[in-house]
Amino acid sequence: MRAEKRRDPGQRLTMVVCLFYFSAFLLLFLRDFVWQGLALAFAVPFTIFLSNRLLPKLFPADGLLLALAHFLCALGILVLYDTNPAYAYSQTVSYGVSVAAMFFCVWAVRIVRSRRIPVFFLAVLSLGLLAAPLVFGREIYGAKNWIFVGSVSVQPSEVVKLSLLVVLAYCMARRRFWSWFLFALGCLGLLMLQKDLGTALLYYSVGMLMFFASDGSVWILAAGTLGGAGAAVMGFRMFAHVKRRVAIWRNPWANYDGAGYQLVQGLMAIASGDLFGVGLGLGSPRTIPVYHTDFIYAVICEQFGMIFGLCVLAIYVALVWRGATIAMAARHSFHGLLALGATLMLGLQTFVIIGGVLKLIPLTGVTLPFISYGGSSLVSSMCLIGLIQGVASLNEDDLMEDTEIALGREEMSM
Amino acid sequence: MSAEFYQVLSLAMRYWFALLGILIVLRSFYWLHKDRRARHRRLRRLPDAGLIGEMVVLSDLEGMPAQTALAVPYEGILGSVRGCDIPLPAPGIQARHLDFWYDSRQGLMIRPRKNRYCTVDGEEASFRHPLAMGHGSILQLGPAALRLRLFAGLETEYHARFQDDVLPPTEAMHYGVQPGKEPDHES
Repeated sequence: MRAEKRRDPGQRLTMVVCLFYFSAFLLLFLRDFVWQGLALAFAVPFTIFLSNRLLPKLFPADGLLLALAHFLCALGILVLYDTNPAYAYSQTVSYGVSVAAMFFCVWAVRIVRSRRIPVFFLAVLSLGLLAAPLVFGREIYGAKNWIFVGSVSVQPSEVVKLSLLVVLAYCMARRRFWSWFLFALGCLGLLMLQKDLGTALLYYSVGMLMFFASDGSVWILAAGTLGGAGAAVMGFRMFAHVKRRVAIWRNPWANYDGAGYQLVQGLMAIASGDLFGVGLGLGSPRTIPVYHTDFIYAVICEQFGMIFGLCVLAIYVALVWRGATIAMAARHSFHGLLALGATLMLGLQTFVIIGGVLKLIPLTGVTLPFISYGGSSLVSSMCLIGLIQGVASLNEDDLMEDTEIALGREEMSM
Repeated sequence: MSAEFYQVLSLAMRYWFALLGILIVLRSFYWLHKDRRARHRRLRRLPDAGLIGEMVVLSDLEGMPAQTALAVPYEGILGSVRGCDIPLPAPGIQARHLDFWYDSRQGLMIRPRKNRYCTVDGEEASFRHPLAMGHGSILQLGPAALRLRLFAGLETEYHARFQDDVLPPTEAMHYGVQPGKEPDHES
């Protein structure tokens, strides 16, 4: 038993993650001797340890998913602490909330197995939430997608991500084409009105790929891709800020001290990081505009280097791989589609923002899951992990049931 | 701590962080690989995992002799293309002909897609009128007749009305397509 415990890959991985986080925080503590910073060095590994211990006791959890998501969250808090400690403290609170939200999502996925989901209510609530910024919201960076309640700001499109996946998976599993199609269309229309094209692109791609997974029709996938391309061209012609972003993407150096400043600074930060980085706590990451949200990947590459940047990418790949494996092992199409949708959402969002920072595709204003500053983004990303974890735990239950049936059959034959 | 000493320390620590990053990636992929192998081993011991029974072809079809057993998962699609959960390449059967799912109370539920038809124990099922199959029930679609065998422990209270191998009468409407419509085939 002791030997088995020592060989447990989950514990070893968690140990390496905590070691990384603790040593990095210790280094930052030696720079400015702020005791609150040292408190973070203990608080985050404690949360990781607690959730890694608690979740498997409640449900059959997937340790790898949990460890990777925690590593990315911890990395985000670390980078934020290095660049702006106030953001890090706020992010740590969001991290605690997001872990609790993840537990809730795992429980919710397990409970809906025996109950009906109020999809109509969810759909109406989601559309209402998406419409709220158009009435009460304020325009930030060209998009009107935030609502402010006192000192708290919420991005409804991050919350709606979850309900979108649930409604789409539920309706697609039951072949209710028009129900999910009209709901998705409504969401996309509201996002276009908010001018939040990055999120609209995400919703569209995830919806289309989920439908392909549920139906398997290549023609519909081709039609969806063509429709998406048509919508992109229409968006380019309709919105001035889309035209500007495409122009920046094509040649950011043409206006490097104006519109292209952000992208140029990001690229220069990545280049100056070289293979091993300029060193944690060194360099000048704050010269990149919006370094704490959209361009946090450039900050990571500058501080830790391109090798570490590639490691972060590989961790996202591992996360997506694991999510897809869980989705494929699901016994019921609703659970499979739910896990697949959550995985696609995380994977595509990562691709869209890192691709934008690396100048592979035009930059869109989405956050880097788990790492970027923002409570809504962190909570919704951890909830997506919760949905995948829920499906993973159901898969494990099903396999246990199969084992029992097989054993029963063997006993009967004897 | 002086700025110079911190700089030296931070520059030295870069390699440590890169090493830990690589270690985390290697551990993750090793875990993925190990889990995959463990799952394969586990599934090899449970060849029926994820399946509820099998459908036995009762009459010879093109490329599929009688008595061929097709594995039936908990839910999926039956159609003529290879990508379906139960592939049944026979004339008169559409690319994706019907959806099925296992209901622990009623049995295997059969719902043909729009404009597709089939019969369960002689009773016609349609998109708006799904039917349940029990152990021994016969599904007829196109020229194909399939008998369902549920695994022990999964039988429901529902019992098939046709317990012998005599097929229900085959009529034009049982051939899976609406009169006047050509079946579509995808490769």
